[in-house]
Amino acid sequence: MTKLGEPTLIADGVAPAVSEEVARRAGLAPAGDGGGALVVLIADVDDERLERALTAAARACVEVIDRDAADAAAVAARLSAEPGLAVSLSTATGHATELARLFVEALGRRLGLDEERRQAVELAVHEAVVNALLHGNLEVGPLPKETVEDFIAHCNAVEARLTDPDYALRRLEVRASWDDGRVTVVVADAGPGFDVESLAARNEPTRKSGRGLFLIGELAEDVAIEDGGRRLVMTFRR
Amino acid sequence: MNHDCQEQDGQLSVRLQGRVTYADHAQFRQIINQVRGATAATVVVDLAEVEFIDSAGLGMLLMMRDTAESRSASVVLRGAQGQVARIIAASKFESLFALED
Repeated sequence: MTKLGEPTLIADGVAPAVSEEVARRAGLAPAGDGGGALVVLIADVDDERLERALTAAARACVEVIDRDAADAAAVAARLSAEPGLAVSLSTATGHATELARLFVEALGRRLGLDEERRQAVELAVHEAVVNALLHGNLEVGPLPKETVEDFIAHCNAVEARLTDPDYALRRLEVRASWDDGRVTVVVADAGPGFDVESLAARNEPTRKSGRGLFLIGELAEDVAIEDGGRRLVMTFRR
Repeated sequence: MNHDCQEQDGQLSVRLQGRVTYADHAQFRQIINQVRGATAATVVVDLAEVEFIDSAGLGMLLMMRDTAESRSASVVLRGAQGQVARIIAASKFESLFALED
């Protein structure tokens, strides 16, 4: 029986022994049948499960990666203490799901964002997520010469890194917070970071890569790069 | 994303549908091969049923353009709606492609 106001957790696709250990370590009580939980713990994540979790979670969706309960508990404890909506997934899951669409749809439902605003936020979050996945966690560099052959080589490098757990199991986090006028979305990776000075946002029309940061700058009211390039903070008008 | 290509009367029509993103590189490779192998002087990319495109998707359109121009064909982007039309405008593609409603 859950006590009123007690922080709660539900699990979807997670072995009971693992979810119980996460709940215990994070100080979260298993939710009763009635109310929404603060944290939804997920594993074997596909789009359908992620969408369900983002709808059910009052604050955070956390993937259990490689059955590591201690790691998931630390993330769940941290994210459940912050108001807003957050999701923390492995790089492999972030790549395999439509994370930005599902996250921003859930955010849009909560905040009542209109369709055009929701699409703008979705594109900015998508670009930030792709950068965090490819250039942050998977450490695949930008296209060198922008030919079709380079592009194919780049795609093959991404696919290869996705099969290497040292890269593919790194965490990716997206979290949103808001007030009456603005919504802030933070996208954070666990890669080695960047020389922030080198991250010029480019918009020469013929460029085939490096346009993502430019688009984010156009779509968001304010953009900041923090934590040595591992964290992108975007602020939007609601 | 889904796509289909048809060559008829001197025109290669490439119809894209759904979400065009960095995850679609395998299909994109097939499209590039179609553009390379075609004899049509014009490549028309039908975007009317594309609901979302990202910066990598724009990069793929640019590579189609490079591939077409290498055999002196031109590329028309047709029917972009909503978010797709806005990102194409923000990226100043009117200087690179013929844009049609």
